[in-house]
Amino acid sequence: MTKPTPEQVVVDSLAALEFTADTVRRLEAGRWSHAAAALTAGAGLERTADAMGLTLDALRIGLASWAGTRRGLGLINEQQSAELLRLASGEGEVV
Amino acid sequence: MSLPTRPGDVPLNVPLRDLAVAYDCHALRILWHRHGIGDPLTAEQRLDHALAALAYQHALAERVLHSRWSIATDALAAGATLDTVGDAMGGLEADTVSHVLRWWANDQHQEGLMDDARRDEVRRLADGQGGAR
Repeated sequence: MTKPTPEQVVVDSLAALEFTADTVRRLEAGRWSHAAAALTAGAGLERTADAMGLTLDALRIGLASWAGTRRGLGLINEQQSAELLRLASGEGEVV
Repeated sequence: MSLPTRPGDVPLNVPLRDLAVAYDCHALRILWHRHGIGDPLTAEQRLDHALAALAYQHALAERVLHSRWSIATDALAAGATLDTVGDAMGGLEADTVSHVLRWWANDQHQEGLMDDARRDEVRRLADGQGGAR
């Protein structure tokens, strides 16, 4: 196998970086939806944060921010937004 | 094997492809439930699938991101600019690429994963003193 030229290394490396960034962006697009599903099913904030590798505060803030963004884009209604904020606050946790 | 409930439950030796398939499987089950496709899930099943999806998702992202600074270094050494590398990394500013690259090199050096010469080479690249072209 011949050694790649510097030009090939640049092209391949940049392609790998673009693929990485795109993959992570796609993965992260679904994470708050999964977090809401876990919380709705009774996982509780602590277990959900653990599953996401986040602190409790990061989960609360991220979920509230996601709810605000979705509400702002008209993807959820007022009631659904309020429910997400309730979950983010830890209300309704199954003890 | 029980389902993972945190990223640390996912073994490090699981191939990347298997991680992606596992994530997709659990994420799809939640999606199907939400849209009334297939048998509805119980609350316990939803909880299991959601936590597993989150754990696999985090593990997958970590795995994908693991080598990105090493790849960035390869690109810079071969003649790419900090701007081009930043664009390829999802729109990072050149200053951010430079700053994080230096931090990464210092961290790798402190962990004993990079010798002095390699760290200095990465620092040089982070300063925009590029490579082959």
